[in-house]
Amino acid sequence: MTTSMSPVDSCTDAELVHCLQAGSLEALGVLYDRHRNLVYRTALAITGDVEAAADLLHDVFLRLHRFAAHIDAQRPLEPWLYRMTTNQAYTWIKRRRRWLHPLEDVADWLTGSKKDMPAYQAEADESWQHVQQAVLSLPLSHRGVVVLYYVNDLSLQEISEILEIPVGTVKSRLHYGRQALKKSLGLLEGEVLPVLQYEFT
Amino acid sequence: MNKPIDLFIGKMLRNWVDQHKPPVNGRARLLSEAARAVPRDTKQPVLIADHGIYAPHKLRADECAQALFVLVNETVFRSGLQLRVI
Repeated sequence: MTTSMSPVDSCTDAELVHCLQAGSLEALGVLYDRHRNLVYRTALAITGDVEAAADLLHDVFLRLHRFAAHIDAQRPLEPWLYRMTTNQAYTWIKRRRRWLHPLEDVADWLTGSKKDMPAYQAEADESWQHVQQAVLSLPLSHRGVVVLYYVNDLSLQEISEILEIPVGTVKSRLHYGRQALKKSLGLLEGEVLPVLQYEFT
Repeated sequence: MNKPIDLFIGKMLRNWVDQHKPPVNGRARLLSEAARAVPRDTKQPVLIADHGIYAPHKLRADECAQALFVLVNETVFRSGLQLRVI
C-alpha cells in the first residue's frame, strides 16, 4: 500500500505557520499530526484525565488556528505549544477544583464513599494508579515543571523559557517535586530501585 | 537527568502517559471546527473607497468622520462584506 504525500507534509513548521496564517487548514492538519503527541502527553500528565487531555489537545490546536496571526513563524513552534498546553491544563484543573469537587463530595455523601467499594480498591492497587496519584498530589506549579522535565525531557533552560520563570525557580520546583514523588512512590534514599520490565513505545 | 533516580522517575512517568494515545477522530474534529471558526486578525480584504462623492482629505475632521460613517453604513454593511478601515 502506498501513501500519497501532500507537498505540505515536507514543509518546516515555520512554512506551515505561514500557510496557516494565510488560512490553510491543510497546514493545520499537518501541524496537528506532527505535534499532537507532545500536546496530548503534556496535558494528560498534568491533568491525569484522559478526556480532559483529548479536549485540551483540541483546544490548543484550535487556538493555534485562531491566533495564528500572532505567532512568530521564525521562532520554534514547540515552546508555544508547551506554554499553551500547560496554561490550558492549569485552567482546567482550577475550574474543576472550583466546580466539580464540591459536587463529587455531595455525590459521595449520597451514595456512600466509592473508596469503600472493592472495585475501586482493586483499581487503586494498580501501579499506574499509584504513579498517577503521586503526580496529581504535587502542587500545580511543581507538577508543570516535573512533567516538562521528566515526560517531555526538556532542559531547565527550556522549561524556564516556556513557563517564563527564572531557571533557579525551575530548579527549586523540580527539587521539591522530585522529593515529593520519591516519598509518594516509596523511593527512599538508599533503597534499591525496582527494575522496570518494559517500556511503551 | 543522569542520576539513577531521575532516570527511573522519568521512565515511570513516560510509561504511564504512553499507555494512552490521542483520540483517533481528533484531526477530523479539529479541521471541522476550524473550518467554521474565523481566525482572529486575519487579513480582511481592504475596500478602497473610491466613490467619487466624498473627498476625505479635503474635508474637516468632523466631516471626515461623518463621511466615513455614511460610506460604511450605505455600502459595506448592506452588502454583508467585512471591512478593515485603514
